[in-house]
Amino acid sequence: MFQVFVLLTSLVTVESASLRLDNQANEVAVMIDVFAEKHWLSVNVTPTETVDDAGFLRRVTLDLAGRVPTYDEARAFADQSGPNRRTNVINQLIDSLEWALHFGNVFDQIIQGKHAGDRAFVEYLRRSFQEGKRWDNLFRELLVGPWTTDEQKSAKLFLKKRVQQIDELTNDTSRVFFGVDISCAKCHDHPLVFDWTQDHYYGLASFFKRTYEFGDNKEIIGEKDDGEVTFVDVDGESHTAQLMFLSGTVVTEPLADTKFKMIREHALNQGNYMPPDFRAREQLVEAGLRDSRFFSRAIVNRIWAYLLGQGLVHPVEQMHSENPSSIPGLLEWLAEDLVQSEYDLRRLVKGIVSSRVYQKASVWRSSDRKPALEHFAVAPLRPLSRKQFALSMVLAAGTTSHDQAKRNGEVDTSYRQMEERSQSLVGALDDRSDRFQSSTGEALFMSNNDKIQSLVQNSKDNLVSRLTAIESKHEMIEMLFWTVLCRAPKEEETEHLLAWFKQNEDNPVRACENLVWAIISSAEFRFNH
Amino acid sequence: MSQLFGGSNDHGHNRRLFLQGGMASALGVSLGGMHASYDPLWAEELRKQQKHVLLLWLAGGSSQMETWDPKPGRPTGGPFKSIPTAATGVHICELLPKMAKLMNRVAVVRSLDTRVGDHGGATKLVETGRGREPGVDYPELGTVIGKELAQRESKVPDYVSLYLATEGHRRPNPGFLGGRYAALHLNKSLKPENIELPTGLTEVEHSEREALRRFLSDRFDSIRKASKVKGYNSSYARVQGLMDSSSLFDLEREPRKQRDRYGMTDFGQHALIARRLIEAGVPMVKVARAWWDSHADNFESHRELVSELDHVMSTLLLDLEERGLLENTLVITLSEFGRTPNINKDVGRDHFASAWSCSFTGCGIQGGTLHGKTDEDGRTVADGKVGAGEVLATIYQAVGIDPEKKYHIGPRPVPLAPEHVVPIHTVLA
Repeated sequence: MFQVFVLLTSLVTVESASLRLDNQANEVAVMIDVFAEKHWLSVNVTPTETVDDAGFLRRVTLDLAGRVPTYDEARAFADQSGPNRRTNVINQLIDSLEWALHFGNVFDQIIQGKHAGDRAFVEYLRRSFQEGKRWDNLFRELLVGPWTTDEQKSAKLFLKKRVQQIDELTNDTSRVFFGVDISCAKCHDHPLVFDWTQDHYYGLASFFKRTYEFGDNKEIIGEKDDGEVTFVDVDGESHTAQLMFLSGTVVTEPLADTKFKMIREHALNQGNYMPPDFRAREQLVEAGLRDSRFFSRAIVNRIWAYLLGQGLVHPVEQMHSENPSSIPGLLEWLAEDLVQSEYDLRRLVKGIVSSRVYQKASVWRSSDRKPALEHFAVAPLRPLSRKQFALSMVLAAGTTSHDQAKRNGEVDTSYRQMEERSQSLVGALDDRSDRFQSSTGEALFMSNNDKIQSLVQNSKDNLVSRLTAIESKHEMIEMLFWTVLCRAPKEEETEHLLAWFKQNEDNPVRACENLVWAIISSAEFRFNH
Repeated sequence: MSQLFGGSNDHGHNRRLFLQGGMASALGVSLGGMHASYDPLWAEELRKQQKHVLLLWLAGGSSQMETWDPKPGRPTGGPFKSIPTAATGVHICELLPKMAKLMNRVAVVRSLDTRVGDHGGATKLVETGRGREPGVDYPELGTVIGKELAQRESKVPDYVSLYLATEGHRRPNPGFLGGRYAALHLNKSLKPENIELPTGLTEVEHSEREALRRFLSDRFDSIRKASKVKGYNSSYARVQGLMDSSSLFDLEREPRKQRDRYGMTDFGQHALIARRLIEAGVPMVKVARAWWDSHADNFESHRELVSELDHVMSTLLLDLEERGLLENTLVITLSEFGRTPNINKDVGRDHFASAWSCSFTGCGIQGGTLHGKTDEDGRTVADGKVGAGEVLATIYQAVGIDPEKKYHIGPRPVPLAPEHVVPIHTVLA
């Protein structure tokens, strides 16, 4: 902590100190800001202003709960003035059920990629987040188990989906958990990255070579007691790979205990699975946690990327010596802190969202060029994921009163209900990705599909019906903006919309429906900003 | 702008004309996104320059023996004879008499060897030119062609894919090129999804609420200047053009005579739609005919399928030629693999990727040529072996796309066709 104070006093200006909105210093947040400010000074970048309260609430609610704030949440927050108001929101969100529900989805995407969407697996992740399971334990459960109880069985799915394809298993494990896309090194030493050779690729694959499905129903993911990977290099020479982790550490296998081997073979022949005494995958987990640089930095980088739009190392799956963190020292510090905290993801997330770096606005008012994303001096525009977008549309424009559900202590049910209702919309929407692009498919769907139309059509209890019941157009516009965009309307917007209603005074209900359509299809709603 | 292309009244007038239907006005509004209908010479120029690819995807694996590489009299040959064609020295299966007369325009490759024999893997291989690679999500070839050949700000779709069957159905994968270039894909019906106004909304309301959406979105972007937001807004800007293109899928607009000419089969009518799309300026069209996977009763099913192909393809080629479109349109027949020379116990042929055929006609192609040979029983390639990569490179080259052009995924350069692959020069003009 002393180091923190030294750095703080030497680098933090009086002005930025006064912008600190809460008294409770969050150590992780403070260090993020210290590293960032040092970096900005060194590259001569002036960061943009702090995001306003409404913007902050929307952003952090989307990031932590996977949805836009409700009307009550938006208005209540706007009425607060205490210096700890943002910290309080962060704490509420991280401690809420919705965090676990949302992060279950987020991590399903991260871990399973194209195999995402399995209900049981998502629920397994949600339970894990709910009970505060540490990331190293989650990693262990996914790769090694135990898979005895019904609840634990779903953890097998990462392996199960890939067990037939050793390349996919090797690549995905390397990417997801270690932040390294090693696929290039399969056919030749990586042409661009000197860190990765064929030895590394096949060294990692060796840990998986013995994994197989046992049993008539293939219900057991087992391991053989031997099995090696051989490969051919570019000169045509054949090699046998060692069990080697990405750090270069080689795992040596002890000599086989022949007596045990016999007992085991007998059991297997009887149809009873018995694990070998040397279990390669377990060795990989141990190696990965021992040489924890890769493991800890990879998850820090991913969570940073999720919250800040791109990783400290970018792309997130290209972590190697030629690709350093864009804010020097920060990734390493956060990774070390994570290890010290025993892989407490809540601490990491909370620290990041409490930082001033996270709380930068996305607006850029200066006439100077906007600084590159990698400096994190301006908040990026991040498209909502399909699920976030669909859920938020249903929440904002639909009939559910999530506010009422919160008062009744029925958050879980209400959230899941909204998820169900929004499920049919998800497939047609563009998903968030590194190379996000808007397709005409989504635009056509939003413009013409009856599902969207019925969402915005005046019907019992939905947003439009509540709005049309309001006499004063001014008040209606206020309510609309607070409900959908979680902020007050600007003067020009109110003026424009009053004119819109005047133009359409022969059919005010229809005018309202079309306005709700326009606002949920607007860029401001579509993006996290 | 309005000086050159007439005033806004003209625009409104033409738009009304278009909405009432009629191909001529449809053509005018959609060409190159510019209002070139006001200058017929410019319209003609643009039309002349636009290249097209029409892929007739024979899904399930068409038999090369019963099409382009017959082996009459051989134990593997089956019951059908071969017939001479308008291309000297080239004989094709007797089930293709109409195509035989047109073979001087067609180039055939008989020496495809792609190794992969499962539908999914083979389709991916043939449509991307490469095997599965864990690190890279390669785009399907139609997506690449749509992107490369599309005119800027075009109001017609860049790529239309018709797969109106269930067997073997796959949506074209845009891969790393992303959603912007995804095909307009029709699977359930000939009406593209979400192309019509929602129930109860008028056209005026549709465009007015889009204007409102733009107003709200523009304010948002003005202080953020983000390219993602611009991309988002431009996807909405394309909606109207796509809705206007919906008439291209309406077969009722074709005279009965034309419809009959193609034959009232699904494939025939889809080929007719393909011609309409090409005529309207759509650069890339894929029409799938499923399901050629004749593990049983190969000869009966091919008698039907190949005769239909014969009729439809010849009609299509002649129709395109009559309309002056063939010289700028590359027409391809392709499957994911061929079929075994051996005839199995169900009188069928199974999957076979070691020696099979495909054909090319039109833009950039030397008609009447033959590349490669298979042995007398069709078991192996005897000469001129080529793979999926070569086919891809040939397609790109034929329509003026550089097969060595590189896309970039982060720092990694990704060529359009696989490295070191050479287009099949025998068939190129």
